[in-house]
Amino acid sequence: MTATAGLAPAPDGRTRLHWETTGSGAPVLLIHGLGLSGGAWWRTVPVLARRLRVITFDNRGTGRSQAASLAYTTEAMADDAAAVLDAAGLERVHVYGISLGGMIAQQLALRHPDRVRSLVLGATQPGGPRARPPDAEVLEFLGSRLHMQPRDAARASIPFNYGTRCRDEHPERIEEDIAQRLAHPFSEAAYAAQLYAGAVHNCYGRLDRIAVPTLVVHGALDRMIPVANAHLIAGRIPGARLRILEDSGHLYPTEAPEVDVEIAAFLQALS
Amino acid sequence: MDLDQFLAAAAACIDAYEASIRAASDFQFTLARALDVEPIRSIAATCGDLTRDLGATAVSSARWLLDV
Repeated sequence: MTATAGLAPAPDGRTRLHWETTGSGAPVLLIHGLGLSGGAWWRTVPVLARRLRVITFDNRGTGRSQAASLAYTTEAMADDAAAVLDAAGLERVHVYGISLGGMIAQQLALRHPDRVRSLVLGATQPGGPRARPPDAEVLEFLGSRLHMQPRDAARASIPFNYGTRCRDEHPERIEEDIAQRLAHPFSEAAYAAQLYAGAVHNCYGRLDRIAVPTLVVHGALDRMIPVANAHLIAGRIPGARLRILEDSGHLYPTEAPEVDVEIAAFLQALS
Repeated sequence: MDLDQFLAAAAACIDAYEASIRAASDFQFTLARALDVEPIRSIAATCGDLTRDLGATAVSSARWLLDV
């Protein structure tokens, strides 16, 4: 496997997005969620890269990417993703986004439909008045997270990010995730800006315009983004397939890593 | 005009507004890249960011209120 990396200029000419590619085959762009860098895909990349060319990048404000704007939107972040494709010399790719990354993937499919070959929308929500918000305890955590030290925040997020089975049976996986996360801390400002992007995201009314094969994946025990949102998305995108992971919470790639094999098969069948 | 017709017309208006925002921000970004002179470049890029992000917030709010 070979990996190449670079810094992609976003449309504003000031934002720079760090990207990497691994493997060869049909290209798939991975977009991660709130505050996480492209490195947070470390479990998924080796599985997908067996047969696919995998592109990861750090969303604006995280990891090695730099951003100049104060507020972010999923529209801006989708344009960033398109800029990464330009920099990597890719015309049309499979797109797999998780959480906030799934919202960005929706926007990418709507704003740049000619760049998207298929979609995998993981643990995400469509926005709009029908979207199911998280419970009050999660909302309180997301607000207080702004003022926590990275290590404390990573620990405090465990009950909201992982289901009970993973917490009981695979605590070592959670520790691995936290170690990865702490290797790429992010600023309070970037976190707040990304939180704003998720809060104002709204694609629900236009999801029926998405005309590419779509797989919706969600943990049934997800507290960050309740599973009802997966049903909303799958019901709205024509022909979308829905895969619910019964014992998983929000970060299902850690809790049910075998699902990466299913996702790889879904993408490869379309390639 | 019944409610469905009203909502369809409102959605079309919002789509048109969104397209105009996108055209305006794209123009400002193109200007920022073409005029590689400070502070013009930074001003144009900042205006492009504001146009896109404030516009996106307004469009999202309108779609939320009308559920379209």
